[in-house]
Amino acid sequence: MGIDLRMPLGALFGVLGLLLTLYGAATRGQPGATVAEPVIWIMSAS
Amino acid sequence: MTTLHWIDYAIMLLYFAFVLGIGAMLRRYVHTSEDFFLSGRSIPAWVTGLAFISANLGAQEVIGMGASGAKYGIATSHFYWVGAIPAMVFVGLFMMPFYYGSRARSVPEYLKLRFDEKTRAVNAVSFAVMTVFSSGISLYAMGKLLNLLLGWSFDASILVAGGIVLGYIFLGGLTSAIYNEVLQFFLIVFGFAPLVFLGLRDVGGWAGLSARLAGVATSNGYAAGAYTRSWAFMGSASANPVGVEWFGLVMGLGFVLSFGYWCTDFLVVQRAMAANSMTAARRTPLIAALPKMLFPFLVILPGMLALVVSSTAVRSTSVPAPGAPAVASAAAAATVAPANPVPERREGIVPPKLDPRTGEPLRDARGRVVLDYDLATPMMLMHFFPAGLLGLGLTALLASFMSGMAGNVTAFNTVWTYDLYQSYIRRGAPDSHYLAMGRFATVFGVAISIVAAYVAASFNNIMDFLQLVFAFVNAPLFATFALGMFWPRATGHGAFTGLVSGILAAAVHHGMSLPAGAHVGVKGGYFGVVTTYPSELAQTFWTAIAAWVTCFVVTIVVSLLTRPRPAEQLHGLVYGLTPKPTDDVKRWYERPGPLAVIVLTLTVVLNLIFF
Repeated sequence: MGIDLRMPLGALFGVLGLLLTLYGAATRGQPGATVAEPVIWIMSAS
Repeated sequence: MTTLHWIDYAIMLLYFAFVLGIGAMLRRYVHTSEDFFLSGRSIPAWVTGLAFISANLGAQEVIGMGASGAKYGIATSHFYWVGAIPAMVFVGLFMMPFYYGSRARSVPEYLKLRFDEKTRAVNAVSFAVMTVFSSGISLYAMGKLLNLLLGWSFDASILVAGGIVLGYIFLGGLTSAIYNEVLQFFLIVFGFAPLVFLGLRDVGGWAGLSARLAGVATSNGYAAGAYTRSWAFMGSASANPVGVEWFGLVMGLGFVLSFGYWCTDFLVVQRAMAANSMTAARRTPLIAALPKMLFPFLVILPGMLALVVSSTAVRSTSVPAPGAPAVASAAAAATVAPANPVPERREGIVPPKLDPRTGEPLRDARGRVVLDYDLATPMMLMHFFPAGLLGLGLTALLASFMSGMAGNVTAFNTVWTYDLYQSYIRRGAPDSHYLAMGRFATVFGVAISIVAAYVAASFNNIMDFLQLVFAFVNAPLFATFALGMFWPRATGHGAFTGLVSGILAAAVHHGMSLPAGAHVGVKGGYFGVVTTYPSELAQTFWTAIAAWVTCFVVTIVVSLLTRPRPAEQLHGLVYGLTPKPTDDVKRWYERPGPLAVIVLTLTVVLNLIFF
C-alpha cells in the first residue's frame, strides 16, 4: 500500500496558508482582526 | 457566543474535504481484511509514530490536559515526563518484539496465544465496550462544547463529525485513519502553537507567567512556585495542587497507569502493528515520544495561561435581581451585556462552573467560585484568535476529537471482527466475509458511539464511571502482560485469576476510599469510607497500585499451583525464549536502542529544567 503522504499534507497546508494570508491581507487593520471577542464577565459575584 | 466568519467555515470545510478525500483515495488499496485492519503491515515508521500519538490526542488530551494545567499547573507534565515517555520507551524496546513478532493481529489475540481463550475473552469484551463508549463520550464533549461556544446544534455537530469519521474509515480502513491522524497531528500543532505564543506574549513570557501564578498559588495556600515547579513540592501531598506525594506519583502514574495504558491498550499498539517491519514497529513509540515530550508546552501551557492572561472584564454597576445568575460564563455572558458596564482589566479567562438547576456559580466549601477548567483551552482560542486563525484553531480542536474517535473506532472494528466475531460467532469464513464484517462493524461502532453520546448527555456521572472502569481494567492488565512476556512460568489460569482479582481489588479499594470533599457514590466510599485522599488523582493512583499489586501477586501464586505450557510453545511470545530482533536500519540513530537513550536523556533534562 504505497502512498506518499507528503503531497496531500503539503497541499492542505499550502491551501490553508494561502487562504489565511490573502484573508489577513484583505482585512488588515479592521476591528476584530487581532482579538476575536472581548471576554466579558459580570464581576459582582466573583 | 462567538460568530464565525466565512474564512473560518472555509478552513473547516477544506479540512473535512481532505480527510474524506484521503479515505476515498485509499479505498482502491483495500483488498483483504489485513489491508483494512492492519494496513497490510506496510506503513513507514515516521507515519505510524505520528499516528501513535495522534490516536491518543483526543478530547481528553487537548481539553483535559489544558484543564489540568489550569488546575494543577506544570505538575500536569508528570503525565508526560514521568508517565507516557518511559512507558513508550519500554513498549518500543521490550514489548513490541512480541506484539509484532508473534504475528498476533490484536492485543487480545496475543493474550490468547500466550495464555488461553478465557483471558483473551475478558480483554476483548471489556476493550470493545470501553472503546465505543469512550468514543461516544468524546462525541458528547465535542457537541456540548460547540453548542456552548458557537451555538451550533448538538445533534448536527455529533452527526456530522460521526459521519465524517465513518466515511473515511469505511473507505480506507486503518490506513485511512492513520494517514488522517498524521494530518490531524500537524493541524493540532499548527492550530495550538500560535495560542501559546500569543498567551506567553500577553503575560510577559515564562517569567511573567511564573510571577502571576505565584499569586494564584499563595491565594490557594501553596508556596509561590507550586504551579510552575514540577518536583520541588512533591515531598508532601498537602504541599502541591495535585495532592499526591512523589511515591504515589511515580508508582501509581509513572509505573502502573502509564505502562498499563501505553503498553497494553490496543488503540495505540495497533498503530505500531501496522508498521512495515519489526524495526519500524519498535521505533514507532520511540519516534512518537520525541514530539510527545514537547506536548506539555502545547496543551498544558494554554490552561496555565488561561488562569492569568489579561482579559477585558466588565463590571456590572447594577445589583443582580434575586435569583438571576450572579456570574455568567464568559461564553454566555457575551450575549448578556450588563446595563451599565464599566470596563476593567482582570486576570484569567476561565469561566465559573454554573449550577445547571439555578444558573448560579458553584462554590467550594470555602465559599470560592469553582472554575470550569474544561473551558480553559477553548476560552483561550476565543480570546486570542482573530477571524481565520480562529477557524484554524477550531479545526485543530475538531481534528483532535475526530482523531480520538477514529482511534477508538478502528480498534473496535478489529477487536470485534477478529477477537469476538471470528472466534465465537463465525469461524472459517472466507477473508472477504471478514472484510465486509469490518466495514459493517465500523458502521455500528460509530452508531453505538452516537447513542453513547446521548446516554452521556442524560447521565451526569457517566464520564466519571467510564474513567473508573478504565482504571479498573487497564492497571491490572499491565501486570498480566509483564508476567506473560517476561516469566515463562506464568499460566493461563494464573493470568485469568490475577486479572479478575486485580479488577476486584481496584473496586474494593475505590469503594473504601473517597477524595476530600466528594460524596459517596461514583467517586468511591460505597463499601464504607476507610481512608480519605487529598485529591481524586491521589485516589486513582492508589487504586491502580492496589489493582496492579493484587494481579501481580495472584498471577504468580496461581501460576505456581497450575501446570505451565511447554517452553517450545512459547517461542516468539516470551522474553528469553525468543531470539533478539535484529535491526534492519543503517544509521545508528535509527536503531531503537540509541533512539531510546536520546528520548530518555531529553526527558530527564526536561524534568530538571522544571524541577
